[in-house]
This record gives sequence, C-alpha cells and structure tokens, in this order.
Amino acid sequence: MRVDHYDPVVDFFKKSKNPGTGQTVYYISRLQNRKDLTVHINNGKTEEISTGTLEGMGVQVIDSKGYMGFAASDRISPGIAAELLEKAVFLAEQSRFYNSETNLEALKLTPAHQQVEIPQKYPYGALSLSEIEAKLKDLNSEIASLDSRLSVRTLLRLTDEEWRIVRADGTDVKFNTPRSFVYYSITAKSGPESSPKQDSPPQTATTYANLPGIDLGVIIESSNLNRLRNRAKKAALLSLNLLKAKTIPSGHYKLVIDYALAKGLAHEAFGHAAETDSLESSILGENGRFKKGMIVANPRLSIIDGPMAGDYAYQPISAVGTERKTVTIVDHGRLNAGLADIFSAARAGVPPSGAERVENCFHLPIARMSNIRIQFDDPIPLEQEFESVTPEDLYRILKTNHLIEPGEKVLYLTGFQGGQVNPAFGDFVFHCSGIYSLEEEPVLYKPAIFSGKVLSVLQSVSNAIGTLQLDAMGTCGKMGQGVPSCGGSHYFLIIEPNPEVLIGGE
Amino acid sequence: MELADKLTELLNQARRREPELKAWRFNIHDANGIEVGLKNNRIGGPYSAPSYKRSISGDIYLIWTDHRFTAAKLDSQVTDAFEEYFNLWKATAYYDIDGVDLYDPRQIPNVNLVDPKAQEIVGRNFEFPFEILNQGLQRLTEYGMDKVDGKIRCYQDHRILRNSNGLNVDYLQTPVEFYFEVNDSYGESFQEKRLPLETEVNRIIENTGTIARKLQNPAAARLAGPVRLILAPPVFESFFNHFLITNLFGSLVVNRQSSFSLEDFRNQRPVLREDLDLEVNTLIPLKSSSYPCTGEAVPGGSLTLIRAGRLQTPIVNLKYARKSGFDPTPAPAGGRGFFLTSRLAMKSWDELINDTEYGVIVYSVLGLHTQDSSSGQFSLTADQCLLVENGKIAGKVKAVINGDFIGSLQKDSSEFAVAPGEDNPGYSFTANASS
Repeated sequence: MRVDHYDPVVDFFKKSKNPGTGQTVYYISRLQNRKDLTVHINNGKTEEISTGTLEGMGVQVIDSKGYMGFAASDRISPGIAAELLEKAVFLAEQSRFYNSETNLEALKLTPAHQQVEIPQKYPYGALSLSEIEAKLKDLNSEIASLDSRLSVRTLLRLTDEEWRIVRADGTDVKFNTPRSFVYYSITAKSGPESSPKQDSPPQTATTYANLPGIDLGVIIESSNLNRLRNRAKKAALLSLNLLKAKTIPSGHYKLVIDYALAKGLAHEAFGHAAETDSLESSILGENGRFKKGMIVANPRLSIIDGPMAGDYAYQPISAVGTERKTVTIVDHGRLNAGLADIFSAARAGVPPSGAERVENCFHLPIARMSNIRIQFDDPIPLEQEFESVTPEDLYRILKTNHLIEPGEKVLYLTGFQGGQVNPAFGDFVFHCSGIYSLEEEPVLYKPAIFSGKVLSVLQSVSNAIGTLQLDAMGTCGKMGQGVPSCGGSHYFLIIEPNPEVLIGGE
Repeated sequence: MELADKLTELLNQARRREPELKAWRFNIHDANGIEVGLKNNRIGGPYSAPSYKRSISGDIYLIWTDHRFTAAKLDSQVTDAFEEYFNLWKATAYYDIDGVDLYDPRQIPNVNLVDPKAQEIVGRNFEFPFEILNQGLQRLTEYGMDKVDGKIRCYQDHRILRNSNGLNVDYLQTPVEFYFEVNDSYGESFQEKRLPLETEVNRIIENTGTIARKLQNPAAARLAGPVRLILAPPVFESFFNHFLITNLFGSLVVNRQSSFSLEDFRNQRPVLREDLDLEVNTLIPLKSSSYPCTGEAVPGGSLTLIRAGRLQTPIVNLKYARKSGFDPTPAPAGGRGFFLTSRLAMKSWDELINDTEYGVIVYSVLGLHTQDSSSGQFSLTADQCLLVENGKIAGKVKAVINGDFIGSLQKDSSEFAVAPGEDNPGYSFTANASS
C-alpha cells in the first residue's frame, strides 16, 4: 500500500516523548493518502477533467488527565511529525488551563495490527482517460437526446484513498476506502408554449440520478451501465413531467417511499439520533444514556448500520484504528444499540462500535454512520428491477395486496434530494424529486418536504415491498465534515397516516 | 513563498522543454491557524479539542496547444514530486473548444484583508479564542441556557496567484469566524477577516440569549394556509443565495440549467421589484467575502447584477464570459458578498415586527440545501420560529412552509427591513404555512 512508505514517520511516533517533560505521550495519529479524478460532462461536451491529491497527517494528543490537543499538516515526515506533536501537546496544556472536558477512554483500547485492502477490479488505469471521457459523453448525450427541453450534466468521481492509523499503544493499522460514483443532474426547462401561463416565465425542474461503486466498474460493467441508464431516463422523464405538475395540498397522508427516501429516513430520522457523541441532547438519550429497550417501531422493522464490502461508504476500520462493527440500532422495533465512538460509548452506556470517522486528516473523529438500512420481516415479494417499477405498477401492487382501499389517497414519494435533522428535538425533513398520487392513472405533483418527528414516523411504517436495495448514496455533513454515506431498504416502504408526519404543500 | 517560487521555476522549465505547453497559471493558499470548539458547555474535549492546522492548497491551469487544458488541485508535495505531477497533468489534459487563454488584467485592486491582531493569535497567542468561548459560555449560561455550543477559527492565509505572462498577485488575509448556539435551537455567528469588536461580540451573545429565551415559550397556534413569513436577515440571505444568486451563474445560464436564460440577461428581464438593486462587492476592507481578484485574475470590485429589478449580467468566469458575450465578473464568495438594496425607505427590523398583524418570524429552516434552486419554489420545515400577533411575540411555533420565493420578490406586498450588523435585510412576504 502507498501508506507503507510512511514507516519513518511511524517509527518516529513509536519513539516519541513529550517534548516538554520527556514523558511518554498518548497519541492517535492518522496518516492519509488520497487521489481523486473528476470528469465533468455538460450537454455532451467535456466541461472539465480535474485531478487532486491529498497527503497529510493529524495528531491527536491525550495527556495523563485526559486533556486533548490536535495538530495537522499536509506534509508527512518525521520532522513535521515532531512539530505537530509539540503543538498538540501545547494545546492539550492550554485545554487543562481552561478546564476543558477530559476523556481517557481511548487509553483503554487494546493494541491492533491489521491491514485491510479492498481489491479494485477496475482501478484508475483500467480505462484510458479518453475511454472514460467517451463513455461519459455517450451516457450524457443519450439522456440529453431524449427531449430538446433537457439539459444534462454528468459527473464521474473516482477516489483512491488509503489510511494508516498509529497509536501510542503500538497500534498500527492500514486500510483503503476506494469509492466512485456517476451522478446526473438533469434540468428540464419549458418553452413559453408549455408554460402554465403564456406570459409567465418558463418553468424549470431539476432531478438527479446516480450510481455508486468503488472503482471504474460503474461505467464498465454492463449491469451497472444498464442500471445507470434506466435511473437517468427515469429522472429525465420525471423532470419533464414536473414542468406541468401542480402543488399537492399540505397534509397527513398514507405514503409509499422508495428505498432512497427510506435511506434518508433511516439516516436523518434515526441514525443521527443514535450517534452517541451527541446523546446528551438526543431524543434517544436520557441523562446522556442510550434508551436501550425503548419501543420505537413496528416489531417487523429493524435498522442496521455497518460497513459492507464493495459499498460506496465502506470503511472497515474506524478513525481511531478499531474495527468498525455492524450495529443493529433497532432490533424488531426495539431500540438496541447506538453508533458509539470510543469517547462517548461508556458515558452512553453502550459498547464502542468503531463508529469514528473523519472527512480527512485535518479533522477530529466523530460518530458517524456507514451503510444504514431499514429491514422489514416478510416484505411483499416483487420480481422486478427497481428501476422498472412505475407508479402504475406500484398502484397495482398495493391493490393486489389490499394495501389501498377504494378511494384512499396514497402518495408515492420518489427520488431522494437530501435531508436534515435536529436530533435534540427529533425533527427531521427530507425532500423528494416528485410525488405521485397513486390511482388507476397516477397524478404527478411537484416535490414537497416530508417532515416529522423521529419517534412517530418509524411507528407508522407498516409494510415493505421488494428485496433490499442498499445503494442510495450521499454525503453526510455532520459538524462540517463531509463523509460518504450509503444505505437503503426494501424497494418501497409503506407509511400509514400520522398526525406528526406532514407533507408540505399548499 | 518558497513553494510558489520553486513551482514558477519548474513550470517555466517545463514550458521551455515542452513546446505543447503554451501557458500556465496557479493559485496557492498557504494557510495556518487555530480552532477551538465548545460542545455541551465544555471548551475543548474529544470533538472540539484546540487544534492547529497548516496546509497548502490551490489549483493549477495549463494551456496546451490544440485547445487542450489541464485543471488540477495543488498541494504541498507538488514541487518535491514535480515530474510525477506534471506527467499526470499532461495525461489528464482535455480538449475544450471553449477553453480560454490567460487573462491579463490592467490592474489588480488593493484591499486590506489583514488584521495584525489576528496574526498574533495564529502566531501563538491562543488566549483570545479561549476567552471568547469562555465569555459566551458564561454569559449565555446566565441567560438560563442549558446547553451552549460554539466554535472559533482564526487563520492566516498567504495567497499567491501567478501566470506565465508574469502576473504575480501576493497578499495575506486573516479570516476569523466564531459562533454560539444554545439549546440546539438558536445561534448567531461572526465571519470577517479581522477580530470582532467588543460590541460585535456583545451583540451576538445578547441576540442569541434573547431570541433563544423567546423560543423557549411555545405558542398555542395552529397554522394553515397563507401567512406572513418574516425571514430573519441570515435566513433571507440563505434563501436569496440558494434561489436567486445560484441562478445567476453563467455556467448554469448558458447550459439551460438556471431559472434564467441568456436572453433574459440580454433583454434585461425584470426578476425583482423595480426598487431593488443587487450588487456584488469584493473590495470592502476586512470583509470575509472580499478579495482583490478571482482565481483567473479577473479583478475584484463592485458590480451591479440586478438594477431596478432587471437582470444586468450573469456571474461569469472567463469561459462563460466568452460563451455568453458578457464581460468576466467577480463572484460572491462563500455564499456572501452580495448586497440587496431598495431605492425605497426600509423599515427597521423592530418596526417590521411591530407592524405585522399576524406572521411568523423564521430563525431557522431544515432542508434548504435539498431544494431545487432552478424552480424557485420552496417547501421546508421552519423549526425555530416565533409567532407574531398584532406586533407582539406570542411564542414559539414550528411550521412547514412553502411558496414561490423568486415570485415573491416581485410583489409590492413584500417588505424589507434593515437590522444592525447585517449585510442584507430581513424579509416579510406571504407564503403558505401549516403546523
């Protein structure tokens, strides 16, 4: 691995002492080596191809009382390591002077030596740059050519990242977190003739489609290409249809959400509240302790978070050098375990789960999700690719399975556009790309915010349709640190009407 | 800066030996600084420990023959491993018929962006960041707040922009930011290229404490239907940036991904009420959004984007200036640096509240980043709001709000109000709310 070249720096840390006192210093050092390639195609033309590298290290020092300091640089050498260590020790002393929070939990970790290297079938170099460019241009033009009102941006990002984490207890672990994705932003813009009012400005609607992976397989393997095309076509048609869509009246509806929205629900509405570094103010905590055993959902529903090999958000080792565990947060409706980092696990009354992640070596680790999914016992089977399921199909499935009453208003929310949560109040929101009223002939409405209370919405999930689909990707921005996230659920989840779950609208 | 000198030399050597390399340009930021956090009433700790950070970042643009270009990020290793980097740049050059040559400005304006006191802090006078956090913690606790969070960042950034035509822009700046948030409900922030004045620190702490106190008392109200939404100035600025400024960027306009078309700019289509002007200004001393020139060496300055409600120019870099036919422009930085003004007299913020019969002051929304900026429509949860009845605060409410933000900016019934210490006004307009 490339991080093997950092042996001289690791050797320095192993011998390091407090520059002031000459005593041993407890440190956690994170050494990072990352390479990025981004190819951006805009309406069939190359907008930009850019490359980037990041090499650096961060040193977190914990003194004998638990006071902490941190220093980071984008240079990796024994000399820089010495400078960073000296600064981090100094800052830990400043923390002591200002009676900062202390924490000695990291000192209880047991030493580890491990190397986890995820093999990439199609690493950078598996295709020439011109081949990558040509493939992306084809993918882009194929969608843009569907309708003259469409404008299409397509982006490929390939990240080859390696980490090495060393601690004062002798720990030395190495791992890589390769990732890639293709992303479409599709804008439909009406001409004056299709505007609702002749004298009004043109209507515009933007939708998205993506496919994550770990390497160039996202644009090489035919199964991926088919899936990507189907997703992009579906998003393109949705954006066109949205130009004439009306606004839905605000209200409490029975809902069907797709797996990407379900990932948003699991991530925003529950995952963040289960992260133990903020449990003092989370609705899943009481006096800072995790409310294990609390009933939060239908007994057929479980929420699980954990690394999955080949996943966009895969991270086998935590940012403090411990194994990332798979955690069943909700086990058949009952709150079971938190996403716990070493610094807050004991305080929260749960075992550490290796949930520490960082955006890069300049950040301090915080508890984060990886791949979070909602699993439902005995879902309604569906032998169809997710991308091929239409609102008409969905209505038929609901009707066949007696999940919709005659005349009952059921809304289908499709396409995840992101979300946000305030874990202290239990308020969450997420946004969809479009809303269909499921009827014999489904009616499309403009997207509207899906908002509610964390502890209400899960109780209302009543059923699921299809197999698990866990590739809903995103970037989570907790505390200003952007890290890859992923997850999903069965193709669709059904949510009963709830006075605390609201669809915004007129 | 040694790295910039060495990179200049290496690029010039490369240009001499590689006839295909026509020109080059790079930007380098050599930044170092201190950050300290306050989480759950404690300064420092595992998630907000005092931190020192140093990094070199930037970007490089190479112009090759036959309309080929390279765009890459720079880091501190670039001169040590120049050949490796250069080979990668050459291998990743792309064809762009619309790509542009270097821009040689007649003059780069001066703007003061350095506060010597902020430099002292970065130089190791770490007392100030701790003192600010300590002061906020003590005073907000006295306001009765259970939970105080915050963070302060003080940096020094040495920026160098050079190109193969001999341009050399070299300056220092000292960005300083801090914020306080209480009870996970309300917070205010400071963001400039200087240390805050005592009055500014006081205002942020006092506003945070006063408004958060009001947000502790719920109002018994059920919202359903049209209501007067009163966006606090920072919320209005976020809305304006997301739904209007985004749509002014030339790359989106030219590629038909904006609410506005190129024809709209050529025809100076009215998009705001006729008393409204929108300006970008990057030359205000010590302002967080100020800079002397863009990364492409386009001079900073004051530019009117919308005059009397009518579109004047998109925000265009060199490539999209050429594609659109408009002159290259400076751009707002970091979602700031734009200023909406009215030719009509504006009320004060307090007057606006006093004159509101029934409305909701919005201090925070969840999900703004999820909204389709090209549509101009919003559908959001406003999680921290105060209900106003007959000019008086009735208590906290939460609402799901939706409406047409861009459309509202053309209505006579919409009102603006100035608030002390804010770049942009607060905003009152009619939209739908339900709770």
